[in-house]
Amino acid sequence: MNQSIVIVNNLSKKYNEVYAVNDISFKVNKGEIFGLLGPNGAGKTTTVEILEGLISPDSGEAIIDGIDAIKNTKKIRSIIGIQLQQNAFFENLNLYEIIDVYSKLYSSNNDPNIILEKVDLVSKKDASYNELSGGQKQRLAIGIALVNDPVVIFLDEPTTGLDPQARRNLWELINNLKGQGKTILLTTHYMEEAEELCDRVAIIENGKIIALNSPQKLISELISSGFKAQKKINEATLDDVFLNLTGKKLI
Amino acid sequence: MKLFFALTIINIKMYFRNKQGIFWTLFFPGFIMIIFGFQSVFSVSENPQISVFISENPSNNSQQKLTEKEEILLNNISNDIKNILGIKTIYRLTNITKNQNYEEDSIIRVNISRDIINNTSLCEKISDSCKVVFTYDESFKKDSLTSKIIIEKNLQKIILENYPELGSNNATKYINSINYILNDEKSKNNYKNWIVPGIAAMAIMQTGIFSVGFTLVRLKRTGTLRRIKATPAGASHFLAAQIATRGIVILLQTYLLLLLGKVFLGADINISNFIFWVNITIISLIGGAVFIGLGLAISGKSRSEDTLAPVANLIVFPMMILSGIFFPVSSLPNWLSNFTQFFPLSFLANLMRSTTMDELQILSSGIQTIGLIVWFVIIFLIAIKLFEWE
Repeated sequence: MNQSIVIVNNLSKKYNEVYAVNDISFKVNKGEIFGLLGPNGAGKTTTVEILEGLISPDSGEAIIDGIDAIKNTKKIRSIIGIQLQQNAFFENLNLYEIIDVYSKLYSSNNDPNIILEKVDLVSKKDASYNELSGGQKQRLAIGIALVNDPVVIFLDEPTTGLDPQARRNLWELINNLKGQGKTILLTTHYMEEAEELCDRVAIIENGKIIALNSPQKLISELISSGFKAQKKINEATLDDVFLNLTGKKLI
Repeated sequence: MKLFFALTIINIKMYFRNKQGIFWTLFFPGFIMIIFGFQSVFSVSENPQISVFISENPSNNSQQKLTEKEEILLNNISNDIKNILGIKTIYRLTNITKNQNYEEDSIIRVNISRDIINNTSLCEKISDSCKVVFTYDESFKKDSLTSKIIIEKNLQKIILENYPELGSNNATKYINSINYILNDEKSKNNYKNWIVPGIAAMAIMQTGIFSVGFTLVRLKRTGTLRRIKATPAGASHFLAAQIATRGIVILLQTYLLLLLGKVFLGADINISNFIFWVNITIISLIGGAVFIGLGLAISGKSRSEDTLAPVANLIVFPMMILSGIFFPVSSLPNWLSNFTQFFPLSFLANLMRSTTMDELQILSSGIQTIGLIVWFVIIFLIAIKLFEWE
């Protein structure tokens, strides 16, 4: 019923005899947000960067939109959107110019103004990269991931290091992208983020997928196995207090 | 190609918005050049030498060979100067008529009229046609004044031999009444002519090594280069555009520095000659290629500016000091100058200088150009070997 747009089969990558990615297989369906969830160093970024053509795997296959992502990296790069874990853009250009450069690198004719609108940065059009807040920098990175109208967007820890407001704001943006029919593969080590955003998650540890399902199913599986949470869950968290006090939206 | 041009334009935009970069590539070398040029800090003679000429008496132009008296005088002067000033001074003792061009290199140029040495009616003839022209390089003032005394002593001796009845006191008076023309204007200009092309060459090195090296390392460290690499166009177009931008900056900077030297320091640069600018452009581009290559090579393995800086300085400083930018290589000990003359910056500075200071000499310039090209090939191969995108 669901059409798979990303197919990963038995992917492995070793660094110095240690498996960063160990025989991973999964599929991402069209239009869903798929999360790779795991602690730092679990192999999430390596997996994503193999799909992005930045790292070549030792073995296994990856297919994106019917194209071999390992052999045909150049073609793949033109159909995917990328936000890397470490983002940096040119210091002496304004946002409009930065997006324009990337449009050229992607041979895309998209108007940078439209991209800026999509990621809510129109007011920062003439600002330079260094003048942006952390959340705005991430939104720019996501904007750049959109310049080529990608079939899949890869977001590598998009909210790491952001304050709760900026994080919520970014979740909203990612959900909007999904609403526009985009397929998104994201990595995160925030459980609540996975729960909030992802249709399905793969939990990775030591380079292996140890669970793969929708967040709700994973939770109900756990409960049906007899698990009980140690503490009663609060009706609200400190996060909610903070958000309630400071306002939900970024100004 | 379209992408390359678009990226080059963007890179130029980025370059000229970077105030620090502009300061280091344009203002700083210009500033150093003007300070050093005005002060004439160092001496400039490549081969410091003292030339003593016996000038032709206009009324007596048949005599080309030196007379016995003249030989003796020259030998005495030459031996005395050698003994007193040491081995570094080379003398060219010659008849002036055919040797005007030797004057260029000399720190002292003495032109003694034959009348003083040979004419028996000296006493009546202390006049304009009977003068000693003494030209010296101000930066060798001490040596120059010592030489002047030696020459006076020898002249005094000659006069005393001819007119023993004068006595040494009177002979000294005659010597003093001989017209000395002290001329240091030219040597001051010499230093300006020396420093301006030297600084232009140095600035090419700085832009190549610092502007390319540090920019690339910053792009690598921040992950910008990686993000560019993840685009379908890849990073090679971008890198090519970066290099092209630096090439353009190097040309602009060389033109500006030479014009600055001409306008502010009054260096002898023939700026109205079109061929001169063609030569300068070619030389700057070859030199630029060498040093941009060097910038790429040293940024190849560096992951941060902190690891790059010591390497860059290790290369830049010896070259800046030992390649004849601020003072001639010949003032270094021989074992050192034999080595430093092969520095790429020595080749580039020599080429720049031979273009600005005199007509380009095909043979020696050819050797310098080949030297630079050999360096380019070596550095290019090293850069390819060392360069890493991440």
